[in-house]
Amino acid sequence: MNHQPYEEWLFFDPDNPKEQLSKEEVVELQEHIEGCPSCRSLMHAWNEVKVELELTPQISPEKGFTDRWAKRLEIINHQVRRKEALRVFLLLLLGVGVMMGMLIVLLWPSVSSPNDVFWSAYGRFINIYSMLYVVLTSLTTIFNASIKFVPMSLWIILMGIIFELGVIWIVSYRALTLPRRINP
Amino acid sequence: MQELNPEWLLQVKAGDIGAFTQIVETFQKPVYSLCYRMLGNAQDAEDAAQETFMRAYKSMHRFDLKRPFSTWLLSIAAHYCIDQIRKARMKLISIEELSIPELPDRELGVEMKLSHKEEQEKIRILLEALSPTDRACVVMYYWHEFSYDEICDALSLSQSAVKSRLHRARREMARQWKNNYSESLLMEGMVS
Repeated sequence: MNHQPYEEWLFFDPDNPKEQLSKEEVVELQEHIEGCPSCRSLMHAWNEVKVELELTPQISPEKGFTDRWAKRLEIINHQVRRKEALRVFLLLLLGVGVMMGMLIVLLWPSVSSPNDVFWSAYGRFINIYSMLYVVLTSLTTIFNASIKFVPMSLWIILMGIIFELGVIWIVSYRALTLPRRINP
Repeated sequence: MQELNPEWLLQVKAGDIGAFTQIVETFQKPVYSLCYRMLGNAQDAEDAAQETFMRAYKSMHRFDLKRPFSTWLLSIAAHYCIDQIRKARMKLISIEELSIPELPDRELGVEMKLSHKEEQEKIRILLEALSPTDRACVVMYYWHEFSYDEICDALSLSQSAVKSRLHRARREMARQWKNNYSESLLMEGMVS
């Protein structure tokens, strides 16, 4: 027996306007079902399934679902924060690594012969020290000699001028750096 | 399907966790129920429902306020469950190996509990015969009263695809029912 299109029609959705059967089709389907045990059993099976679907309610989760969710969120947020911290740490480590690499590249000639570098630095240090020593000795000699030629009164005037200049400098500095008064 | 106060959604978008907790409280039942129908057991349903809310929370900044929130939320749940079923199938776990579903204790009497469990078991067997997407269509249509348009939106399917999937699912469930519970039909002299 040919079950089409009756088997198709059996499962049309009565709530869907596009799946409505005409009156003639309904009569035709009923006639087929009366003479076809297979389609009849299928129709009854579907009717029972429909009842099951309609009667079976929605299911609730166990109590405390929202609390469990909040705890889960907290754990996940903690993990995210840890991951972020780790990422920042690794990024810093990478930056330090890159800088060290660049430094090694820049200083490679020195690193390859540390003996030369040491003696060159030592020589420069000795040179600078000798120069400073000479300058200081010269200044001391000039100062000692000038004390004998410059009279005491001139020294006092000189010190007074230096003191006056110092006061002017401090006052000017304070006047420039103090915050301006702002009108409310 | 209940809808939310739009202010809650705005608060969540502004980063208010408390407002989202209220959303979880409001939608826990439909989301859990959908996951339970899709996955067939309480533990997986709990995990899936939790994960659904987590994904929704993380994606809230992308949520379009013009869209119904429940459709969006259940769409996340359905897609997650479909993925889980596919993954489980990839692991070649047979239905027989799956544990018998445990329902949450709902403070029912012993007889009621047994009857309730039997009903749930029947539904589980019916739904397991369907493909994950067909199952999602059936669950949304029959338990969550989604319209065809809402199912299209939630599952990214065309209207004709939803229609043919639901039609195929009804036929499959009827056949399944006929095969598993044919005794009652035989007694009524309905099976050839």
